[in-house]
Amino acid sequence: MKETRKVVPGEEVAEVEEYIPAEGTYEEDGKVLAALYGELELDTEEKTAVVRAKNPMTNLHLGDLVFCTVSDVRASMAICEVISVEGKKRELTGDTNGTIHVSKMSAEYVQDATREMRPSDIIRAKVIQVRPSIQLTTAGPHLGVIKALCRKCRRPLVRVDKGLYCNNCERPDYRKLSDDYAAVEF
Amino acid sequence: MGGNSNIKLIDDNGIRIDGRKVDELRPIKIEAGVLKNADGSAYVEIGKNKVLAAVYGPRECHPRHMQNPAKAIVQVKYNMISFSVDDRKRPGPDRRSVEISKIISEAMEYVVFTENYPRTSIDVFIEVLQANAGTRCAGLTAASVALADAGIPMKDLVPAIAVGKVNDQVVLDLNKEEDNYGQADVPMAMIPRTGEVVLLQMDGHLTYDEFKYAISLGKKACAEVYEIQKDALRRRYVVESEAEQEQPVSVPDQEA
Repeated sequence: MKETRKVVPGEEVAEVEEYIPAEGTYEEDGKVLAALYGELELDTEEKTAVVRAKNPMTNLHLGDLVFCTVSDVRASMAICEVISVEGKKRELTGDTNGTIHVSKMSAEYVQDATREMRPSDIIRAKVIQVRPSIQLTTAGPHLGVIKALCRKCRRPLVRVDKGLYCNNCERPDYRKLSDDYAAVEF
Repeated sequence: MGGNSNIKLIDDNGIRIDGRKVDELRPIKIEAGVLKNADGSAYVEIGKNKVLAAVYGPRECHPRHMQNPAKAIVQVKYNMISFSVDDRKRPGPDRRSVEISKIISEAMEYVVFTENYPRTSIDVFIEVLQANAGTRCAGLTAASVALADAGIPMKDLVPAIAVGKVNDQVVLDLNKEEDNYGQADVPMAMIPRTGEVVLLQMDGHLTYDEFKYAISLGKKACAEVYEIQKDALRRRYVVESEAEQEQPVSVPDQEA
């Protein structure tokens, strides 16, 4: 049985003898009070009082698809900045620094991470660890680089077969590409 | 605070120049969630004051050296728009707005559960569109509704109001004339449920008894403002559920 109603911060929702303060609630002077503006759920089975925010923050969870910009690439890993979670409008709360280990870059064997992605690339990645640090993977057809610029002239690279090509410099390039390279709309 | 003056701001019947009694608030209007791009927002009108507050975060704190590894910091930017006062106000931060930003940020840090979001910053932007005395109170009132609207966990909402002394009488919620030609101005913010004071300043002089009476007036007024704040948040739910109902129930089949 779950009882629900709308609450605002500071509103008394229950006594501590009845319910355990959980997400979105806190305890003061033997009372459970709402900490968030949203919907209160009193779980009579678990005996918990939870408030689900009307406008929740964006926190990372395992398996989330995220968009990142690559900020640095070493031989064994790429460091990137998480810009947003796919499907969520609100900015990410908390740490935004993620790393992709060379073994998690592609389904195939990768000798050198610097061949797969380069600084300033925009990638789609999947979250595989949130705490203590954000770890990402780009192994999978839908994951990898979605936008890359030519390293010489900084014009967008176009996809040609499995690789990339700069029409301006007439030079081929390579990345670990996502299946919708250059076709992602933000 | 112009000091003592001969201007009569309260008549013999105890009615002030804007028609209020000495313990009467100006009309207050609060609306939550008025801005689309901010994480949370609120618009507050207290008499002729018009204040807009927007909240972003908790987000990664820049510059990095301001991060606190144990908790989030609340950064407030209070700003008066150039057309908010009679003479054009020179835009940009000044001594007054830096002070107000600091005290509002300290008041907000007390109520927000900052320890849940280490190394982040919660950014609050308060823009005064029209000023008529008591903008810091209006700003804090708006900021706390905006924080709640942003889904940031906090102990309670913070209502704020000013009390003061005009023509040797303690009055509630000073307007501009009373602020300019009165004898004291005491902006205060109090959580009505616990009676905790999170903001208190005094400009001018009050005797101990006057001060005690002023605080009791302010306490009652804070409780009133608090109800209006709660109502603003609750109303937001009603508006959205009505909007949902207005949407067409069945989508016409486009393939057919």
